[in-house]
Amino acid sequence: MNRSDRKNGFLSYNNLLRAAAFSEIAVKEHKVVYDNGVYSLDTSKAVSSNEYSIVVPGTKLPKDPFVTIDGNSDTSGVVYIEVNDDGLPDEITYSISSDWTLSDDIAPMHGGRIYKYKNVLPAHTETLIEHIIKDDELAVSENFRDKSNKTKNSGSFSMVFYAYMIQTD
Amino acid sequence: MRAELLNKKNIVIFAVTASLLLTAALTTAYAKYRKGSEAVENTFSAAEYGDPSISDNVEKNGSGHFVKNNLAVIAADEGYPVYVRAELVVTWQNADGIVYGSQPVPGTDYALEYDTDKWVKASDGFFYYTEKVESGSHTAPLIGAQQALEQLSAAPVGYTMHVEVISETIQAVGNTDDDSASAVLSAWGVQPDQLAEGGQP
Repeated sequence: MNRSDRKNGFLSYNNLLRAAAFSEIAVKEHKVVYDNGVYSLDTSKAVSSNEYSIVVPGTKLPKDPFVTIDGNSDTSGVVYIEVNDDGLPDEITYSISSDWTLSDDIAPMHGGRIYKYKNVLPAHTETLIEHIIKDDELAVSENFRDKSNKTKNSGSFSMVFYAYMIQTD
Repeated sequence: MRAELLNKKNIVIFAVTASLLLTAALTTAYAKYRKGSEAVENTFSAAEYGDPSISDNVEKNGSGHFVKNNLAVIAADEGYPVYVRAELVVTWQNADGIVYGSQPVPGTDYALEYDTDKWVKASDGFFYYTEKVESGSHTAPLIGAQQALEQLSAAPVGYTMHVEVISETIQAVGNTDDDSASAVLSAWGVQPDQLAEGGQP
């Protein structure tokens, strides 16, 4: 075996050790636009954050987080989301779609609640999961107060979504 | 000697490769791939409520009587449209602010002309502006330049006519939790943009 043969032989061992590919997962939502007391979605722009700086009682806040998974995975996978809304005032309500169930399969990494998607995603399948929040909106109660007369947490608060994919094979 | 060295090398390569393969196999057996996303974060802030303000003009007529005109309501600049209502409280007051026992009588003690196109006087005594007012904008005058609230009769001795304008605003967006009524209808009992055009009080 000459030097070149040995090198080729070693490269072939490297190929045997190639890791299986696994999908990239992302969670985004569409940009919100505020106009005269009403928020709407600009569905041409996907963003990683939105600010709702004027929340008025009795209104709806559109919010449409969605999960994208590329088709590169060599294995099937389960999708989870983590929702951290610890600071959400009682007067802001929403529901997670029935496509997702509360789960303790994995531990939350950011102090939130974990939801599991109903379907296992096959390998090599590009996927878009929309309408995670029922009706893609949060409801602001008529009892939500303005800054000068705020209720618990109503002055300012945040809500964070994360997504995870874990192989099943 | 050289062959022995080559054999040793091959054994080392084999051992390293085997351990790598074993590690990979064990990793597959005991761990799963897991990928996580970046966060999507929203921040929220409650709207603020600001009191409306009044712009008006007060002067004396040829008889030295009280005249008020160019009266409009200015909505606070809080970023959302509002509905506006105003009440005119007409009294006789002395220099110490003491209110006379009887109120001036409309049509007898004073005359009032106001903009009936944009304002409607409802049975609760309020004048309702029939359009939403943008944040920081003002209404059309309740009493315009060519109109007035004008004193007609002499005031009781020691008293003068006073007109207090009480204005209120409420958000022009939003509904009750059960969606059965708008915020303004729920709070004020009227939907200003659906009020019929009113006449003089």
